[in-house]
Amino acid sequence: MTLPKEAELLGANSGELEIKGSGAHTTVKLSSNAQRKLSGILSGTNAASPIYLGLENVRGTFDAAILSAFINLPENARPSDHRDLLAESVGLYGLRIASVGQEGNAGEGLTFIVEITQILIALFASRSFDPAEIRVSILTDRPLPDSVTITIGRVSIFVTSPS
Amino acid sequence: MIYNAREWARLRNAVLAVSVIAWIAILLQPRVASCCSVNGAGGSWRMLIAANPPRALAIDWALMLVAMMAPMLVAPLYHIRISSFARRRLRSIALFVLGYGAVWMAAGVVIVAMQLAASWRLPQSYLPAIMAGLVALVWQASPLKQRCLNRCHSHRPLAAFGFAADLDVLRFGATTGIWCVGSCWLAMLFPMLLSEGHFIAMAAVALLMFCERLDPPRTPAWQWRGFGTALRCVALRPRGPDPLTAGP
Repeated sequence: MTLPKEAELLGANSGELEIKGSGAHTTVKLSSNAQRKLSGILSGTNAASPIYLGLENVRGTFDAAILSAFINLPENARPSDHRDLLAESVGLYGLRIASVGQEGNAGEGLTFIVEITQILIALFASRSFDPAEIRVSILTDRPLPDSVTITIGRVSIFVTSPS
Repeated sequence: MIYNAREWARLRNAVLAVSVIAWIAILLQPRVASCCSVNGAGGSWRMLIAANPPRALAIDWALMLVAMMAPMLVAPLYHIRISSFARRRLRSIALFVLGYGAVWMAAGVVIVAMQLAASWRLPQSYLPAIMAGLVALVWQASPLKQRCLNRCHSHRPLAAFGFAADLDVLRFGATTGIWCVGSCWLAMLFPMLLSEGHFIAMAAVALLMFCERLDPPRTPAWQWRGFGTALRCVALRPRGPDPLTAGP
């Protein structure tokens, strides 16, 4: 297994993201330096480096859900029509235990890291990509019960240094 | 998050170097290698204050904090490092240290006052140290201590941009400081009440506090904590988290 390289933050959303019902959307803003770096990587000017989406500190008490993360999914679009924008689907097994702060954890929830390099390269090639803001949609596999809220502490985008 | 063993080791070594420098400074202090020792013990309260000006006490306390607490900050500092933009890392770390240090300096007012009071009422007596040591042992085994330790392991998500990012790391530092004080204040008080063997007791307490942080969070319960890891730690070279098994 290859060890992870040094990671550098490119951008993050502002504040906690609440997932209710069938999902939520947020915008990851990139700093000006990060925009240049990302554009360089996607255009092939800079050395190829994997880019990751981080769903940090996912907390809640409802384990029986699957979250799907889409990149730049158009508003009101049907997710099934845009499978190419799906970064990853993650199961929330262990969410409750990881969120309540007992049994060997500090209650900070779960963190998921998924690679989105290919999606960003395709978006960049289609010329419909704004590196200043990346829309991230977190959709549930089925609507959450009304009483359930899942929160994501921060949605972020990272790049790792080339080997 | 994405842990990198080399980056972790670099940060850990820098933090440990700062701690070692503080230990050396304590050793080289004119007051017989006894940081936070009290001059003029046994005299009147006025004499005690005159012999221990607040400024000198604050410097001693700060030095003791850097020496003993710095090794425990590697994990939160690494969390800040990988959660911040590269250009903001130093600033964010400085703000975290400011928040953390402010809480400990405030706690120091109470702890040093207790030390001065003990020196005034019972000069050259081991009784205050024995009493503090016994209470510290009970605290060490208590569920409340475990709650504080669990909170010390908690790494909140941090805002990335602007004032919100500054405020978040400052708050993170203060919160970590509060739980750290809750976890360690009695252990810090114990060596300060000793009339001799100050430095050795400080080193032993620092090792214990460092090792109890290496243990993962646990369900709060009455149990001994830190001692087993400290014994193993003496025999092993301290290492960072295994990047293949490290959690988020």
